Amino acid sequence: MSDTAIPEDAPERDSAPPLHLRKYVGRLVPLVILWLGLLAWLGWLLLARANWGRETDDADMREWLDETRVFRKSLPELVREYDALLREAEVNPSLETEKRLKIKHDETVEHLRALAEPTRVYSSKLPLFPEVYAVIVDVPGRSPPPNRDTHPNWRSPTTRPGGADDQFRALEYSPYGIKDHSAIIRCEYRVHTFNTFQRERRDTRINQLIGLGVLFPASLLVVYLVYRVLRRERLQEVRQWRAAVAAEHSERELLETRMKQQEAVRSSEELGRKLLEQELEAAQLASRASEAERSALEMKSQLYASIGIMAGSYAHNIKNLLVRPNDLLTRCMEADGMNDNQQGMLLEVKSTLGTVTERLQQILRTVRRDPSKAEVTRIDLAELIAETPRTWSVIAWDKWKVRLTAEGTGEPLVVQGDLSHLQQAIENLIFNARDATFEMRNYLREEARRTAGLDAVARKQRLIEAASWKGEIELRTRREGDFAVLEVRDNGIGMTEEVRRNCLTTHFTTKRDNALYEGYNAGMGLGLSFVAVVLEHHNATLEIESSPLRGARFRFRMPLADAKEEAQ
Amino acid sequence: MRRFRRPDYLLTVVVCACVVVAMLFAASQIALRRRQALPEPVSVPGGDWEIAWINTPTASDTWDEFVTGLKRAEMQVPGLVVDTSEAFPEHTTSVPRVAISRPPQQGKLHFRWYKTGTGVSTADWLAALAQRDPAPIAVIGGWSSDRAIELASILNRQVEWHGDRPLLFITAATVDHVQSNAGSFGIPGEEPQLTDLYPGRMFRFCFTNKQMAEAVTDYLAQDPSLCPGYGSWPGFPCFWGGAAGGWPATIGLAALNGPGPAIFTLQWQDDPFSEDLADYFTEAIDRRFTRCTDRNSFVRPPSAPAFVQRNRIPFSIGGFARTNSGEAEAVREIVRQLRPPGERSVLIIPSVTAPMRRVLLALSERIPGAGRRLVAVTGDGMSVNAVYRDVEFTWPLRSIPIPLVMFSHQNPFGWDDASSPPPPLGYVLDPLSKRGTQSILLYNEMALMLIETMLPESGEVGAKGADELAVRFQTRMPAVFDASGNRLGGSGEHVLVVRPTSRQAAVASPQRADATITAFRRSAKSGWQKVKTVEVRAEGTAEGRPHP
Repeated sequence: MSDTAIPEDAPERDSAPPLHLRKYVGRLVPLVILWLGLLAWLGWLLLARANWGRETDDADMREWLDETRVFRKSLPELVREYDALLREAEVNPSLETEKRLKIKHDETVEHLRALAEPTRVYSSKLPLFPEVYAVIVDVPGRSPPPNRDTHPNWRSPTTRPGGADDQFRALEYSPYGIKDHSAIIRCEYRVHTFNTFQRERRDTRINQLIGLGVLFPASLLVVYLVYRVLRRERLQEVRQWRAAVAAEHSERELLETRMKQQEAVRSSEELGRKLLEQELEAAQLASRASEAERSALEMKSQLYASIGIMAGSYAHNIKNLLVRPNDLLTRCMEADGMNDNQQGMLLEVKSTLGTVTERLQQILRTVRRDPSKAEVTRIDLAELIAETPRTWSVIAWDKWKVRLTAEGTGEPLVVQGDLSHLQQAIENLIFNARDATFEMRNYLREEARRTAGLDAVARKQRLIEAASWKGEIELRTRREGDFAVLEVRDNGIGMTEEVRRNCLTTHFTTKRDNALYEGYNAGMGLGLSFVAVVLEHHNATLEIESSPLRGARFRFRMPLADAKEEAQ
Repeated sequence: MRRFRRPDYLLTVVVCACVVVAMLFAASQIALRRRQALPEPVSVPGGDWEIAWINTPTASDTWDEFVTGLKRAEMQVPGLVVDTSEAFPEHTTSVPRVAISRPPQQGKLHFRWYKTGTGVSTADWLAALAQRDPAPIAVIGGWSSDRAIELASILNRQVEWHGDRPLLFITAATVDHVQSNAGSFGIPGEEPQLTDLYPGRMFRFCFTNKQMAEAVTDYLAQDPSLCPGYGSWPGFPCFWGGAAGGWPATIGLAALNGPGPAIFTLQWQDDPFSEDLADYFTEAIDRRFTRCTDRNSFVRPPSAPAFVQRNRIPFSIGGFARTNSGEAEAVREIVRQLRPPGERSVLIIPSVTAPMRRVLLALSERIPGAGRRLVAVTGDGMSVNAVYRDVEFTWPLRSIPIPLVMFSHQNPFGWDDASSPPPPLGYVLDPLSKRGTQSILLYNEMALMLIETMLPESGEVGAKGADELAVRFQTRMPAVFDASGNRLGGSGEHVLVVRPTSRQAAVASPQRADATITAFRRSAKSGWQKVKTVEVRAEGTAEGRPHP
């Protein structure tokens, strides 16, 4: 925790967001103005209310003066007529005008008297009616008529009591309205003798003023309390908000954890599902592989069957064709006149034919059954290897220019297997070695040709040396524990690593695309695959060691028959 | 836009709106006050008519009687609806109104009381009404002769109206002729008539001064107890004098050929009604009692001209009981010129209650046996209510023994009885109320004429405007108005005779009423017919019960 962090026990308001008082005040200004306006209006109403009684009294007096008609005409009408006569007397003085003016003066005086006297006489019977002290008509700037001391007026014989100034009031107005004051009507009166309404109004006014006096500070207090309450509520809301936020945060974390768990479970399930799918896919692949293998085997079987049929057909034809030569050889040998040398050559031919026939017979036996269905017998591998050069060494030397040798430890290496299959596999290896030596020889020849800087002699010498190069095929057997080991080594062209990895694949061949083998062997890619199948059927392992230009070594291990039986 | 949704902005808008509303309200109040300086007539719904009732704000009693007269029209016209719900509004400054409708007739007849006062004159109201559309079909006003002259003159000057020029209905002004100059009053027959001020558009539902004077004089001539001159027929003193020994009879015989009756007139110069009526009274009495050349007549065969004393009083204003200077001077003159006891003189006192009260009180105080030496005659200036309903306050009967003959345009005692149709609730004319009915019946009569013309029975077409209304009034049968719009006389006039009980009789019989008031109705065929007599008691209960 850093030094600036808020302690846990710090007051809540310290941790609350700062209150932007200026902003709130600024936003409350309209409300305050409205409130002040309403307060001022209320004050004005109360003030007007305070003078209401006086205004009402004045209005009542005004109505009394204006609307009372002692005889048809009201006082303002009389005053206006009186004023008009005064003006006329000024403009056109005459006895007639003067007379009319005096009459109007007296008429007005009578009107005032008739108006006011009853209020004085019956004052005790009219307690709510003001006590009228004077009703005076004044025409400023104009003198009264002759023989009249004043303008029309009426003054009460009752003396206005001293000290009654508070009750004394004077109403003064113009009969012409508010704009023309050429004539004035003035009424002096005292308010009601005992006006309970006035007293009630006064009490009410006092109460209202007290109420206003209470209302104003109370409003301020309420504002302050509202502020406090709002502040407290705000802090509480902030607290609740924070708690809610924390709870929400915890809940969110919990939810996230649960979501992660669920995600993990879902991922696990997905993984399992994918694993299952992969397993299923693997199974399907395995199934397809096995199917492919089975198809391959079936194809191989069909191929072998086809080859076998074809080979059988050829072998049969060849065997049939060899019947006549053998018969002819027999007749030749039985004929007389042949020297020994000829006899020996014929014997050799006959022996060779016999071997060919026997081989054809073996081929026929072989191709007439499935290569995967071996005909297992006990076979002495050392003996089989030892006999192989006897069959192929002469041909190898004469035709292939290859020295074929076999070497063993002298001890029998009996294995369980199909003789023809093993014999065919060994021959396939020998044929491959033969092809490698051919290729090596060609390589040497091409190298001799392409070598620059050689003169003709040297080049010829090199070509001769290349042509005289002898291939070597060495068959070697030995025992390694419970296994019989057979090695077929040659000094041919060797294989690249890629070729080495794929050389056992069916139909893989380097001969088909190689022009060097044209005329010798088309290369169908079946030889080594056949060897691999045979060895697989004999529970043998095959090791291939080779590198380009360094020949190749095929080594396979087969369990010895004794050890196998013992193990069983 | 979100910015304007913030509370402070909304609050500012509210405050500004309040300020604007307050300013508009203040401005409207100022404008309203300025506008209120001018009268503002009430609008008239389309298809309706208005009759403007123009009077002073203190005429509440008159309005009450007017509304009562209108409302009671429901009694005579089936299906009539007189809406008085706004006749007495709460505020005195409001315009009281009555609406009359008669389903299924379309349109209503509105009566509005436009109050004249110190700030608003009759001319102001008429000017405002002239600007309003539609114009009123009629104006009811002129509650005194001088006001009627003023009103008629204003109406005659006001030519432009939205529609027909309104008619003028007069119900109280009785003056016949109009003074041409202030202080100079016309001679009957030479000055223009009131109806000439608004020719062809004025209709007077009341009788004129001339008709009143002739009616009162006619009655006076037929009532021996009130005849001017010697009491009753002059031959009676001769008869009783002869029976007594002969010499006393010479007194009566001398009277037969003595001077004509003394006629004292009081004319208040500020009241054209008073001047006009006094002239007519003087002429009628003089013609009836002194210029009669028929010596065979048993009524009055004098040949000497009447003594006429005119007393002109400058103004009518005065106190309750104290005469003003002009009245006091007139009283002094009358006392000085009064004939000796035994001869009754005629006091023509054409005014309203207060001047009459002051003068009669003064004469009663100064003239011994004034009740036998004078008979006061007047027109309609004093209501029967003054001497009947309000006798305790307005008419000191015991102090005024002078008999009084008054005129009434309608029966003042026409209260409801068992034979009357049921009146509307609150509009009963109850004798116990002691309320005179002459004005109510007069307004009721006018209302019936208006309803008959404007809202006739279903199937008839009412008048559509003032012009058509004037024509129908003129051609109405039986005729009510003459060609100039004055009401036809000779029938329907009422005379009230107030006979105070003499002091001696009152002392002799304390149970006796202070006075009796007898109403007579004039009939074209049978002359004066007594309608009803009521007793008046100034103290205690003053029940109006029929005179035995």
